[in-house]
Amino acid sequence: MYEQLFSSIRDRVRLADNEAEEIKRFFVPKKIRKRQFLLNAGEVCRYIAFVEKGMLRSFSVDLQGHEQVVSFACEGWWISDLSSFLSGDEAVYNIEALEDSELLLLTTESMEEMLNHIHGMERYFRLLMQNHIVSLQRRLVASLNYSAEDKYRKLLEINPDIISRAPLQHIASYLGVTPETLSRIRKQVSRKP
Amino acid sequence: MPATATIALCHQTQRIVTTPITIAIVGATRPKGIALARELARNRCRLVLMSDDQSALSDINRKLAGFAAEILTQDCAKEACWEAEVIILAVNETDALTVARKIKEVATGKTIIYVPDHRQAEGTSLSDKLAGIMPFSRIVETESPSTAAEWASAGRDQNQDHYQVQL
Repeated sequence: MYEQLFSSIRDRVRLADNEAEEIKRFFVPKKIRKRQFLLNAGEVCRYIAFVEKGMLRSFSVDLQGHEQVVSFACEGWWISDLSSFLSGDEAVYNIEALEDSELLLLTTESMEEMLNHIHGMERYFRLLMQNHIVSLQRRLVASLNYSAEDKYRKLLEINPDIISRAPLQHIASYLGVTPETLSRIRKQVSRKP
Repeated sequence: MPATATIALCHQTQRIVTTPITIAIVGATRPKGIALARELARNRCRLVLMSDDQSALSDINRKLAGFAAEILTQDCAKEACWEAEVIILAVNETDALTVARKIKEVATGKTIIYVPDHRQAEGTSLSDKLAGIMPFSRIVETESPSTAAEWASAGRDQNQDHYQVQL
């Protein structure tokens, strides 16, 4: 139940054996079924969620009611509306399970308590935040400068899991193209890999 | 667009949909479990009804159709409690301890409401034993289904201090 979490932590920091046991008590295990929501925009995001199994997406909805997929999270990834989680403001993202999923939830209070108790976890979250900032910047640059095909190729290279598991319309939304354009790009890419 | 998605940028014109709390009732086909299910089904929540008696469970499920709650059923206590944020044990003392041992791994950080299905002798309480098995859960006990339903509905807020055992 905690295999992916400890793999993610041990890839980045060293933990004493007793610390691993202690860490478990801060996380709330939660199963969520496909198409259930973990968060709805407008409420305060109470958790950051670590994905042990399954897949989720976060998305916003514009004034016309169109969904914009912001991120996906598969096994070993975190997902949340960080802005809401850290500030206590209303969330702008919805988070929905794309598959039956097993999550480990961390509240702000538990997180604070854990960071105060287990020094290695403070470093772990600092590294996570660094990675998050880097990936946000890359996504921003890609959305400004890359063609749709380049963005698709990059996603295929870095996160092939998303391409194989997420529904086409959600991948299209994530890349900022229509499903029809994405189908055309996929055909092009499969012809000249 | 899914019916539960909300438009975040125009709160003044859109109804904000809150994510429903998930409540598991272990012993959902026993008298107090049925009373609890009926009471909680009036609210917008997800109710995971757990029992070994599948035919009685189907019967309750049918009777609760059309209520505000989304009704789900499970024949495994651990699976039911894994989905839930609040867990109600509507079983007798022996079964409560057995269930607690089965679900302890998935009960961390959750509120456990123990509702004994018969009146207990004066001064006896199972809460201490349950807390011993599930030390990182918040254990509360009541004989009243309506009090249990009230606590369960407020359970998510009570989970905030989950790592301190409160009796």
